[in-house]
Amino acid sequence: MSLLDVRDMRVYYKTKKGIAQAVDGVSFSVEPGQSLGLVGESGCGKSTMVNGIIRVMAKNAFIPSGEVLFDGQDLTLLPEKEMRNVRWRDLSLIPQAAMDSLNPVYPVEDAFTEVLTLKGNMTKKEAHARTVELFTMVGLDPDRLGNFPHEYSGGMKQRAAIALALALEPRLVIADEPVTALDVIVQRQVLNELKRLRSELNLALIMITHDISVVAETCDNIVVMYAGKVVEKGSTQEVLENPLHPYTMGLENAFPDPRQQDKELISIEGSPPDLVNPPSGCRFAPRCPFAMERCLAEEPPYEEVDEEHQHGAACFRLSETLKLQKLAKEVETWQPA
Amino acid sequence: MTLNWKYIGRRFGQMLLTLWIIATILFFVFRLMPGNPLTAYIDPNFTKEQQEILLEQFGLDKPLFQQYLVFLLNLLQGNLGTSFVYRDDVLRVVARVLPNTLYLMLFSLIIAYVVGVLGGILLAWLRGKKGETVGIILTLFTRSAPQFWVGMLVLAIFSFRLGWLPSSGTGPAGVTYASEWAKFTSPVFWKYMLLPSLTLAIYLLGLPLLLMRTNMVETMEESYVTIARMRGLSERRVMLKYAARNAILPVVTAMAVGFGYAIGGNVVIENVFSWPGLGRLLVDAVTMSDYPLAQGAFLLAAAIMVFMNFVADLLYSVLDPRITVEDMG
Amino acid sequence: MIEMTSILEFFRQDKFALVGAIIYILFILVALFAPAIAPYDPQEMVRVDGRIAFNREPEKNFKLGTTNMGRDIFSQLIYGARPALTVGFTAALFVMVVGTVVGLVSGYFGGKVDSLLMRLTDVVFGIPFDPFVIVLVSFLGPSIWNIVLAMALLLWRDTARVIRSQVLSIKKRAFVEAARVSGASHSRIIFSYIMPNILPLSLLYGSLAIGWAILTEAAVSFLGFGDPSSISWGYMLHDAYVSQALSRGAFYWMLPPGICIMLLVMAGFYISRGAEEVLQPKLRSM
Repeated sequence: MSLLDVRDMRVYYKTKKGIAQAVDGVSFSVEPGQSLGLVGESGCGKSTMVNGIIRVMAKNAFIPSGEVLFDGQDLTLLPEKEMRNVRWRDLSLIPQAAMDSLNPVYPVEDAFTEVLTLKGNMTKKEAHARTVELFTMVGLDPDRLGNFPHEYSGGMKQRAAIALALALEPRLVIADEPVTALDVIVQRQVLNELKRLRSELNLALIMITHDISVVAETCDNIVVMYAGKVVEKGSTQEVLENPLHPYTMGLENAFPDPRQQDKELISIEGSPPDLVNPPSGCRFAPRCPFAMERCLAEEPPYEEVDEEHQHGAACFRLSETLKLQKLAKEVETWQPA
Repeated sequence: MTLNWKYIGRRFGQMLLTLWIIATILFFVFRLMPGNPLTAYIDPNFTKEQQEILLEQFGLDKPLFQQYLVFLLNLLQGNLGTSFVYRDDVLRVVARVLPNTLYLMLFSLIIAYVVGVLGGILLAWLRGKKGETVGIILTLFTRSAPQFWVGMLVLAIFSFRLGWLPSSGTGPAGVTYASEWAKFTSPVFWKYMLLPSLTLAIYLLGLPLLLMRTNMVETMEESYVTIARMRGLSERRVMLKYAARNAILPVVTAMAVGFGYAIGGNVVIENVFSWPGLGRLLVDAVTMSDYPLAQGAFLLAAAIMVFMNFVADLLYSVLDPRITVEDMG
Repeated sequence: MIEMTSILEFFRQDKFALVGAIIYILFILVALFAPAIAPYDPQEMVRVDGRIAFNREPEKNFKLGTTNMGRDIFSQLIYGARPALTVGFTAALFVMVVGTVVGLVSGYFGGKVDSLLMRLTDVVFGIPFDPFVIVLVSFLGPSIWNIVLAMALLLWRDTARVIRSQVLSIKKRAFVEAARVSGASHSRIIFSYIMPNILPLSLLYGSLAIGWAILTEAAVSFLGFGDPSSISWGYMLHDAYVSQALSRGAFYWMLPPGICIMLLVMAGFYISRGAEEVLQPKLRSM
């Protein structure tokens, strides 16, 4: 049984203009100890989905349908009080805004003590020992425990956020853009740290990012989202080496590849659609260089093409993949007509 | 939580400068205003000689600049002159009534800020619900009603109609308290203080309440609050320890400033309830043209205000670890 | 960026602001047509059957009763709108103009000018408000213009500080920088770029000052330093207080002036509350 099985999940926002379908029918699963990368441009619904899974959402957000099976138990049906027990004990988070994820008027240690004593039922003394251990584990100096968050550098805060997420030894950690705000050198350190901890602690990890190269280094599987929908998923290697969906091809063009130093970066023209009135066909069609008339009218279903790697995509031109991959490498293809 | 002595020193210097300027303005306002300050005091039947003796006695025969220097020198020694009416040292007259003002103010401020902070948290919690609108309208009522009018109504109802509480002063006629401490610990005194302090508290309540609400609505959107919720902490803990704790800083500062304002502001309350405090003394002094007394009372009120502004700045730097000296200019 | 059109916009959007504006308009109409509405001269000692009608409770001829001097309370109430609005609007105008100019000059030019003006603001912040007004009015003589003057001398302090910090932040924005680089004069930058952006804020502080001014005039009149030639609501309450209206339980005398003050002050709050939401759209969208 999967550790986390998200089935046909939807998260909508009530806005002044109408209902925004921020996450619209997303399915994926994570096995124990496995890592999954959730990739897409900002605004594609990644963070909204995470908030929906952990059920700490904006006031105007709601879940119209879908299941979030954690260890077989549907989290969307859990009463708030029981959900509170799941949070952090079973399922923790390295937040996107790790920079200001700590209460600014308390020393950093306070957040640890709070979680360890209240959620982990430790005594203050045990909590302190554990905090020192966690700090050492993520490469922070335990002498800095008494400092205030503003006295930490960005990288230190990020490490502290990681340590805090691991405090109660949860089975699943969701890392939401864990390195975006850091400079490149610190990014590498933090990512390596995460990788090491994951293999040491046998954690399952969901890594949310807009940076496909981060996923390439850290994740077993990958889910590509666009405008609230899954456009492609599969094992990381398969998806990256043999992308099926034009959007994935476009994403790969937009990020540097360490194996191909001289690669020319190409960005995808246009911007994601309005989620209050999404396009009736494929949501990517208006920006897709390979869109046919059918793509604009009908929504392509998700199809698995490689059972071994559980690799599939939602595109009408799956039969022409090789041709499209070739074309997608040309700069001209992505230029507006 | 480290104190920056350099900053404190600079602010302290600024405070002294401000006080000196206010004292100077006050001196010239009182000397240059129409009419000789002694006209009200000197009996027209006095002989010219007697008048001159008096002028000399109050130092009014000397050139203005010399008078100013004498005034400053006296001020430094805590000598605020002699009251025309009480024929007593101004500082002594003021010191007699100052405790009454302080008790009234402190008691009202405590009520107002405790109720205000709790009310503000509640209103923020109720954001978007009907209770929020009702709460805001009620609060605006307390801010728009003239204090003296609320005092009059309270007196008419609780004192005159129902006869529950006394209407004026700090104790029954003819009763004097043996000492300041005896007064402070006497239930009778507190009974007399209840109506004026509640009236003042009703007025003071609005500021901390609305400030707390606004700040908390803002901190509730901070990511550390959302993330605390994701840690599975109880809603109460998230609201109080995260949202409210961060929202309260400006309210604490406002309290120090409010303390200063209340000194000036309770002139009205003290007069409605005939409360023998600084504000009532000031109004009486002005009415009876007792200029040295009016000037002294005014100066003391100003000094308290300036000092509390200074305290507010210091509190702010101590309470918020993020504030650095550069931020504060 | 706050547009001037949004000032008009919020009357449509914000019911609070609309209610506030309606209250203001009603009181302005009452003040303008006071002689037509009031049945008596507010100073007149009304005689009934040749005898002065002292301390009458509300009846047909005296809708709100009479004072201990036989003056019609309802007529006084109607005429009381005049000094209240006069004081409120003129003081607010002063506060707005002085506060905006000080804040603008201080924030825009910075340096020595700035520190001088801000020290001056500190000094003004150190002066107790009510005592200052009382002392000044007692020196200069009891007239509503002296009350306005006293308020104008002090109340600009909050506006100046807020406007200054707003100017500081606008000054850093790209469009001001661009104008400066392209050689625009100081006056052009101030009037075409900075003013439009701080005007809503100074209007907000102006509308708050109306309430402050009305309350202050009432308090000063209540303490007996008011203008005896114009019957204001504060003066009416002073009259009631010193004539034992409290012990007689003459609520018909005490209640109406206080309610009028409260309504007018609250109307200002309602409008500025609306303005505040226009200024901070962040809160509105939640």
